[in-house]
Amino acid sequence: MTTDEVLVKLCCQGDKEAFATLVERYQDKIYNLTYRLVSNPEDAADLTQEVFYRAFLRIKGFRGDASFATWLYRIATNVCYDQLRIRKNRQVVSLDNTSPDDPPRDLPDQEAGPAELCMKRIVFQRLQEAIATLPVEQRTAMVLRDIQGLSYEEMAQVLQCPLGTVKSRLSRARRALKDKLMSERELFFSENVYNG
Amino acid sequence: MDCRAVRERLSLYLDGELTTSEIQLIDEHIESCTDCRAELSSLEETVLLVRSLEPLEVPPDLQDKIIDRTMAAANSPIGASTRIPRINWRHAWGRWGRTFSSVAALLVVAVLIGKTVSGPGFSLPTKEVYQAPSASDSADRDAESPAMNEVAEEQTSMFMMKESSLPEGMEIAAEEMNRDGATAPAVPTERKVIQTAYLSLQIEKLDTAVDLLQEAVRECGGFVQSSNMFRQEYGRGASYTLRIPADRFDDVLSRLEKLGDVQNRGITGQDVTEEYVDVDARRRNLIRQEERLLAILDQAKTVEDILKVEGQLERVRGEIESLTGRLRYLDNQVGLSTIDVELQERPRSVTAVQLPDQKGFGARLARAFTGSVNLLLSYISNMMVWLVSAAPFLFVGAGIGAVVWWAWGYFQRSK
Repeated sequence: MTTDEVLVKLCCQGDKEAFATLVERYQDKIYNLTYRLVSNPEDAADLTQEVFYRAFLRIKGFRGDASFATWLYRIATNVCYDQLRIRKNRQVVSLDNTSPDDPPRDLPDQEAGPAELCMKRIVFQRLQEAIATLPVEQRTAMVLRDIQGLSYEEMAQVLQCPLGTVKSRLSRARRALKDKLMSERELFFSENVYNG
Repeated sequence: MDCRAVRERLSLYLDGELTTSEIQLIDEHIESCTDCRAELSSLEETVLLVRSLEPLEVPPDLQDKIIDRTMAAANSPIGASTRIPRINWRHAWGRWGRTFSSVAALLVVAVLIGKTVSGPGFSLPTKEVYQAPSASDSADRDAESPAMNEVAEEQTSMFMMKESSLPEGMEIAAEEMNRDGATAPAVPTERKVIQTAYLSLQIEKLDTAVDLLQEAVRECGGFVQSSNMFRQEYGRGASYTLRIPADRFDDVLSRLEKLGDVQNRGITGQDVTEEYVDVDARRRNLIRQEERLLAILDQAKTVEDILKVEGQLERVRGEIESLTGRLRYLDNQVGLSTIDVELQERPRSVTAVQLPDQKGFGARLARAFTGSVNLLLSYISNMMVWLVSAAPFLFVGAGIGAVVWWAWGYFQRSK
């Protein structure tokens, strides 16, 4: 398998195949990252496009100080921040889900599978909603660490802030999320749901 | 270690990011403390739950869309490789600016209304009181916006300086070539250090701390790059990323430390002198190469030669551009240090909130009531003064009205 660095070099020389390989390799991660940050699959797809587009435009500026993945993550978080800032300025009213008390959309068909599967999806839906209420910086820290599995050092590189900031953000994010989940503990912490 | 210290470290404990002695302390504490043990297990469950989230499947057409979009861009020339992080002034100014300007606008309207109501020649002590804040506010604003502009100008002028020094560099390069290409570019002797600090503070009241922080930033000529406020069960908090002129770094840092109890403090200095010199030298060499290529291009005869040389030229120029961008970026980073500040309100005792001071509350009620009565009285007196001061105009107006009315009646009758 060709390494990222080689592919980046090929890209700089205008090799389109190399870029396509990089897209294929990372679109999964970037799509999931943006989805967890903006909580909307359609937006996530648009943002993923934007991330790769920006990466392509700036690929000659990639100097290999950090890994390509880190560099790409950094672009992705910035793209999401921009999007969230715009979204904050004009309040988006979702037609699908107008109040938090409404049943979550994407509710699976009752016939679709066994009851546990359905239950699991509700739990995940609620969990995503809880994550979405965290302040954006804490949310990013949590997604990078616990969903994308980055190390603390990689997170510091992506977020471009000192290690101490990363630690405290992540710690606050987890505690805040824990407090939120504890208020619905029978939904989240009944053992068989997510282990099953 | 007490419970609070333990709980603050539990997240790191789960990730195995603590020192062995810290781990031992926490293990000991948890052995004896049931609350912290429960806290740890619920935190662990939370993390496990988040980690168990299943990845979303990528839409099947996403890859094609990405490729289509980028390839459309590929046909147009690729832009400058490294871009200087642009400062979004609108965002830096942000919500504060908007609240501030709307309050100022309200005050101006209030003052204008007060003026028209009170009329010319009116002077009650209350007027001074009402005018004073708005005057100082607008003075503040005036003082502030040029300062912002100044910073912006400084930024651009810094970059322009760099740009104007480019032909000079080429001159030097040309001279050096004449002297048989001696390779000793002028080495900048001063150290280039990127300073970054991280500060976490526990404070009494968020609003006052934020005011003081912004004052400190304003006074040293820095700016707030990003800010974020949040509310949590145990109080409000905010995080700021500040950019401070490097020579005021220590100054500002010690000022910020006085805002509250320092929980966490770290300073890192990244020495980029080597990289700076390296990039600078590479750029100079490339500029010389460019010169040489241009000379060759002049002598080229066949179309094929010209194309070959131009291909080389393009590559060299692209690299020069990217290196120049890197130098600018370094200059920016070195010139402006970064300070990350996290503010967190001290958890308040619940009893104080539930049982407000009875006497203080009564006093507040009384104060509010008398305040309103005074305001009403002053409005009534203003109105009376206005009526009296407008009386001459009213008399004259009435006189003219009477004449016109009489003339109209006379005209009608004579017809």
